[in-house]
Amino acid sequence: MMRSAGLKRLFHPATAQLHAFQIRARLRSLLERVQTPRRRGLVLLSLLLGCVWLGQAVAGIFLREPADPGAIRFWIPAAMVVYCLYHLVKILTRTPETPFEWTSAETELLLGAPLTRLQIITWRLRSIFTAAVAKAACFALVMSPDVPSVPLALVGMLGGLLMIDLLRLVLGMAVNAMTDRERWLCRIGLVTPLVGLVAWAMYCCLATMNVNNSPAQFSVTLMVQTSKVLTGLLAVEPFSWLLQPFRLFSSVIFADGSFGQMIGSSVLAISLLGFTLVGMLNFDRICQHRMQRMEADSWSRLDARSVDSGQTRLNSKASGAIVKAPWRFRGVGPIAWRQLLGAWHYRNAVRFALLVPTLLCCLPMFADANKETMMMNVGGSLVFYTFLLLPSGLILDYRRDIDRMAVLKSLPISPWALTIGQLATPVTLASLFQIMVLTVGVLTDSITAFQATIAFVVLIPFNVLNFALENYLFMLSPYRRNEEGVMVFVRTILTFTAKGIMFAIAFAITITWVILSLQWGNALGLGSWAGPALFAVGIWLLVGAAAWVFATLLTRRIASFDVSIDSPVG
Amino acid sequence: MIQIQDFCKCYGSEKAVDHLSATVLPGQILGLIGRNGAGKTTTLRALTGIIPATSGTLVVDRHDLKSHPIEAKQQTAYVPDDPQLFNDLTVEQHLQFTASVYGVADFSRKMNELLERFELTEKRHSPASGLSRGMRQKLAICCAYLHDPAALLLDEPMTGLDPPGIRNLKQSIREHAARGAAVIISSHLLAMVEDICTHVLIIDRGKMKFFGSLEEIKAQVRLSEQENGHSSLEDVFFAALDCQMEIRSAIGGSATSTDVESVTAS
Repeated sequence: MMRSAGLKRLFHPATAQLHAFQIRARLRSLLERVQTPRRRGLVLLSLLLGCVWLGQAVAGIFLREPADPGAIRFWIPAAMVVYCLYHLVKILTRTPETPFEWTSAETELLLGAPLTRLQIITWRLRSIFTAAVAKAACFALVMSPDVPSVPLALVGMLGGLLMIDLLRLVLGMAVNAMTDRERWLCRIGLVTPLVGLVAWAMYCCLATMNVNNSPAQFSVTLMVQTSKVLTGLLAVEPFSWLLQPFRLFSSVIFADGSFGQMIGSSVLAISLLGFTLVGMLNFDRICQHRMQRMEADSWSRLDARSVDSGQTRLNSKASGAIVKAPWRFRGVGPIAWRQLLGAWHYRNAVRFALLVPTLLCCLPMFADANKETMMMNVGGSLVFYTFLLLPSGLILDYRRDIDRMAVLKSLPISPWALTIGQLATPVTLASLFQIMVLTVGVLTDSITAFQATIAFVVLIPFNVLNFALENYLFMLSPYRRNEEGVMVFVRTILTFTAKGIMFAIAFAITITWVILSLQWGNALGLGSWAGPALFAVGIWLLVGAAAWVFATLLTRRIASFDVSIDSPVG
Repeated sequence: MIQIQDFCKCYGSEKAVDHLSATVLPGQILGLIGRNGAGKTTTLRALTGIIPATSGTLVVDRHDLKSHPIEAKQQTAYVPDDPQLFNDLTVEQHLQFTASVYGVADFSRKMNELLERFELTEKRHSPASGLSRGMRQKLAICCAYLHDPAALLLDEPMTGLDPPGIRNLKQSIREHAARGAAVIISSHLLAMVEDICTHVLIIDRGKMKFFGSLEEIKAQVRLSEQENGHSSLEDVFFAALDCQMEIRSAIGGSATSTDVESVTAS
């Protein structure tokens, strides 16, 4: 009886019921979607990608040698620390309205219901737990050659992932309860050591590079050097202390099966989780109080200044100001303008998203390499980082507008104009990033102005292809950005697999075209420039054609998008 | 009973509600009217406990929302202006969930009655994502009525409803008030407010412009062109916004200066 009352304090029966309803509803909705004739193609594609991923996973399990135990024991807690750091950067650059990121339905139906804060928080923790179980299960299976016991690996990784999520919530609470000034100070305090870390990694990378480095080797070198810098950092005090909490979970993952060690590690790990959970709940209360106090202080300041908000609001707009509407251009103008405003609104996040790949791309220019290798390095880096980093950094297209599809579709704008307008902003920003890198290349005499111009011309259709592909994959199975859960995890894996396959195909086509264009260039007998020129023209046409194909597919997808059927549920 | 005393709310450097006080007794229906952005929804959301008050006291059925939020929320029902539902749950599951949260006894009978009354019986197994705007509104109303709340907070409740739905809702609001519920309706439909509300609170830029019974408010209007005629709530509303009226704070004999401490359960 007492236990049931205690449990009820933590988990209200209604939230348990809601969770069960949602699982059933999502399964039902998934089955309905699978059975819809218009989704058959997508289902087949998902199954195919699932098979590819499973094949990779199985191959990864059975066809490889176990990793070095010492290295892996270090890297698992280190990766967890890096993941926490990633969350910190994300929260500081794009602070959510609340650390728990409630949906509007949760805000109105749960926050307004007679549920305690504890019960509402455990509701969120439950969905975090479900997603963590799926991730930990995947990890345990893939790592089965390296761990003594798969179930213990699952438990250890589950604990580690939950720890990361609890810390993420704590970080979110702390950042939410900060004043703007404190937030800025934290940003500066975080960016400074990060810049130092990157600079150090670059220096180490440059010291080990030589003239024979290819773009792929360069990327690998950079990754190796960055990891070495990170390893070096985390191996010395006080940074090594950061690893300590996660070493507990690592010790559960690698528990050798002896009963004593297994029990000891598990008890310690669970205690740590419990302690963090209690700490998080108390910290939430402290942050809530602080936010209340900050709001009261703000009111006092407003009172002291005798500011009438309404008058301020009304007076702040000059009634006679001339405001121009954006250039229409068949509807492309206002759509692109609206996304540009979004980019301006999130300018710090956009700057950060462009700064990191800019630094990474500029690094090869300071290596001791000949002009041809340098051009290959710069071009390869631009393509690689544009493909890898920019789509997740520049979410200024359909991915941001999934809840506004009804409005977008009701506008007197053709689907083509809509798509061009949506893609214009991320493509322009990606092109600006490339111009920056190429300009640095020209200024440092790493590449010639002619090479830079050719590279830029080739990269424009590549940018269109990159964002059209990203949006097309997203629109096939759209989701909300703050969604969490197993489905998001599965979708991420499938999307990643699909992009991996496409990248491999594109790479194979490029290599084939390099060989063919050089052969045909020699056969034409026009000189040494014929082969590279043929290559550049061919690549431009190929990338342009691919961009056109994916933009068309995206446009058709938008035209056929049924808001009532295709919108994400929940 | 709903008591609002010296309620203030600010968002950053903007005052949303500035020292608002009012009392709604059981059986009374208060119409909360004002321009867009006047602070009506903020007041209702604070009374529901969705957002905290910057300062002031909010009491629902003798429970202070700050010190006894669960007890206060247990007695409150809120229908937002744009009902946010769990899109993947069916109509029936929404009601099941609500019954579980509020611990409703004899829920099945109540649910069937409400579904019948608001013409949702045929849609009981449909997910909320498949409902029209009006049906979503009706579902939110059904969820609100399920636990017979002592305080009923309705934000633009007529939006999207069909004529039978509007008639049903008006009738049901009167019934709830007759059974002792204190009701607050935020609306721009002044004719509807005049039709069903017993009291009116006019709010402008977060500040109270008038608070009293319909009779009092009408009696106070001294518009030169209408001194001998009937003044509608619309006339009163514009007169209040033009600052031609003094702020009154009496409502059906219950003064807003009632000591909150003396009526709260705590």
